[in-house]
Amino acid sequence: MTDIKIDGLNVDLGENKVLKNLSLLIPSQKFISVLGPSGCGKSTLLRSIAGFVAPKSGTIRFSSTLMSVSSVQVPPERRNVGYVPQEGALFPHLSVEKNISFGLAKSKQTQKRVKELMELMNLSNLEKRFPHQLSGGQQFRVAIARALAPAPNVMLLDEPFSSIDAQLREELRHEVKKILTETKTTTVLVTHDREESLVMSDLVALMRNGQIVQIGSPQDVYNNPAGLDMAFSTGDALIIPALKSEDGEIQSIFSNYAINKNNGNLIIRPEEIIISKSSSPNAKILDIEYFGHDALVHLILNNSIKISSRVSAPVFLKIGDEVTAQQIGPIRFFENKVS
Amino acid sequence: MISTLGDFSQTKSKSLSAVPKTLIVASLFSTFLVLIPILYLIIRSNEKGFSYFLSLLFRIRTLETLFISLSLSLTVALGALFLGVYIASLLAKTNTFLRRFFIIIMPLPLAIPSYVIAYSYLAIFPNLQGFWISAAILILATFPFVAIPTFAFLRKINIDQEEVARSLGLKPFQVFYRIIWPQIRVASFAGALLSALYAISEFGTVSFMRLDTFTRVIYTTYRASFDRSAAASLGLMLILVSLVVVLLEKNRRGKISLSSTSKNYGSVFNIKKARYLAGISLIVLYFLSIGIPAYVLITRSFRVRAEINFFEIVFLTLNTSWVAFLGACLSVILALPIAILISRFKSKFAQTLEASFLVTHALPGVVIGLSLVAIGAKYLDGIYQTLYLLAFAYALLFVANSLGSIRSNLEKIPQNFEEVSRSLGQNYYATLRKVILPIATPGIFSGWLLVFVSAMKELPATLMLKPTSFETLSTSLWAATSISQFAQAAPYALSLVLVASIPSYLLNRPNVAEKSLISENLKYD
Repeated sequence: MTDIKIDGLNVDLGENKVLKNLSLLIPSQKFISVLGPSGCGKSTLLRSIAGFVAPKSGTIRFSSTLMSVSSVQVPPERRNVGYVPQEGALFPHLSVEKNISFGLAKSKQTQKRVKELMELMNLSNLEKRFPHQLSGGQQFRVAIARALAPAPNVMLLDEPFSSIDAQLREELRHEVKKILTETKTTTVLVTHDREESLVMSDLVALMRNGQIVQIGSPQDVYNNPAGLDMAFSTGDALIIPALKSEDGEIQSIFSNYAINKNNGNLIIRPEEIIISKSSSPNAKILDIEYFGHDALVHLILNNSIKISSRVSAPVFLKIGDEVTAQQIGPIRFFENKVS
Repeated sequence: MISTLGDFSQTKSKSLSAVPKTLIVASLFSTFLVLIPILYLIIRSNEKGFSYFLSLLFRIRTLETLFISLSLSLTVALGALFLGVYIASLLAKTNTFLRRFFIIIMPLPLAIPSYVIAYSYLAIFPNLQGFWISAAILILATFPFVAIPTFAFLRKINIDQEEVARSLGLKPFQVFYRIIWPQIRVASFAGALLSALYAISEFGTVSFMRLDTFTRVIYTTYRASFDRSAAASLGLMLILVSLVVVLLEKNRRGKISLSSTSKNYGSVFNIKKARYLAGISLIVLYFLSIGIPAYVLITRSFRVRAEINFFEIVFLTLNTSWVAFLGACLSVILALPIAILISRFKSKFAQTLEASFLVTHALPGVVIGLSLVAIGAKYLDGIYQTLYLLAFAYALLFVANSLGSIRSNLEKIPQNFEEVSRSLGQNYYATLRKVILPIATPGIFSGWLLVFVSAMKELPATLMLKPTSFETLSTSLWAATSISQFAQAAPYALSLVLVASIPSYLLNRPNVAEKSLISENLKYD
């Protein structure tokens, strides 16, 4: 039952201003992911919430409790956060059991709680093993169980899936999301993987240069990017020059054979370009990236502009085919910035 | 909206990066203890004024001593450099006869204190003395300082580089000179500087060989006249000289880096018939450095077997181990706070404290002995003439070594561990106790062991600080040799070498447990 309010947060690491006047509201019991390229400050944001770095100014509140204000911080051990770093950081000198019970006060319930978590994370019978005797997936499960043990207010995940191989990763994402939803834990996931961010989160926050630039549901940030740059954060995108006339009509290569000037751009997702065979083709296939369930078809439109189209399987097209490409879906026009 | 104030820490620890006060206090205290001998020498040699210090420095005899010490140090460094690189190159890069055998025994001369080697030669040729014999013995005792790192570097150099150089038309010797040597020389020079430092502070060998270097002159001045000021001034000069060597060595060490990307090493040149010649040269070398001592220790012990008092030997061994044990524990206690401070909190403050610890590298046993005798007699009535003062001397002498070992192990522990522990409700000290120290235990133990083994072999400080009726293996060896009872000294020397070689073995054994603890857990896969 904890929401997180971050207000005007500034964090310097050495000479670098890493977070710049960052504000963010994370609603209680939601799973939020912070998505951004490396170096944008997303890990620093997470570490500020955990209490590992001291912000220069700004406040962090858990519900109505202040955790961090100007130069005074609640130390990490009193914040009741669960933290899972990139490679899990299991304590190498402790068994699975001891790792999981590390954050629990010694009591009669400890044993029971550990057992409960081991069952929850599918770790039964591994109590006495040591971290180096576990597979990568098992180590990850122990790291999650250890963080969950003290029933944290807030769960902080710092790219925990990045060192797990692709297939296992999808399985674990699903499992972790389910458990955190069931335990109603407010969760912050930091990642640079857009698919991971979209598939796991209730809310996606896009981060750039130490600031949150857009926040919304996965559908929202994918469908309604706040800018050209943000569109690429969440998926593939095409930028098509377009002209918006004074009466609001938008013209592009899809509505007009050739526009000779433009005052902005359209953002189009490749799945919003559909291609078909017809007697009057306007595009030619240059290349096909085949993924199995779908394919990304690269075309040249009107001999002038390169676009791509996502085509569901089965795919019967081949390089060199002449086709008709059409745009469907929403029109997202972004006017050029006048500089 | 109402904001309640969070549970701000009583200790006002701002964040993870805030250094706990207790740690700072402990570090400052141990730094102070470590600096005591130097502070004493400075105060003492200033007592009669700076002009006295200068007049002492420019006495003919002092200048002569300085010249002998420096020449000895330089000769030993060059000799060790040449021998070490020669041996390492043969073993790493050629199919020398008995190569595998020599790779295993390469570090063995370090297990024998150089004064035991000196003693062994004296037992056969009682009239040996002088500069060149001293230099030869010190070279034979210290060439592994150069050979070990050089060998390790040679094995790490990517073979691809050699192959590319060959494909560009270089002959094997040119490859060595133009590709390999530039990469290994930093390590070799650093090793040679260690040999130089060893030679400057060595006491037993030069005393046996009646060569008046600084250490011997300080000891005889102190014994003969109890003129503490003169001895203190000489001690201070000795520190200054060895400090220069230490700084040079640190400077070298800082430059060591090797970009090794593949594990593709170990190209071995077939040197054909020359492999036997090379093998014979190694046999001669190791015969001189460990063969002769082994032969002397065993045959002379056998010769006096009727006179050996086994109870005495066991007793002396226990004595030796017990003081060394105390000294090792003390040095770990001194080193631990500062090691934690340096490895977990990088700061200017920590670096300054560390630098003062490194100065102790330049403190020869004679000097520590000298200053602790004086301080002990004057201010520390309670522990003067007890084992504790001797143990403290050992701790000071070797604290830089244990610090290095503990520190590098602590540095290998990722900060993640600390953060996860803190997030699980453990405060700084609980984290230290439950996570950091347990993981670092193997490193702390090897730091301890390093001091333990060095302390067992220590001679000058032991001679000066031991309680009157207390003897160790090394002081008994010294006593017997001083009156030319070479055969009678053999059992002491033999026991010393045997006892000291157990921890040496433990130290050099690849530490499997530690490796699996740290490195295997850094990756999921």
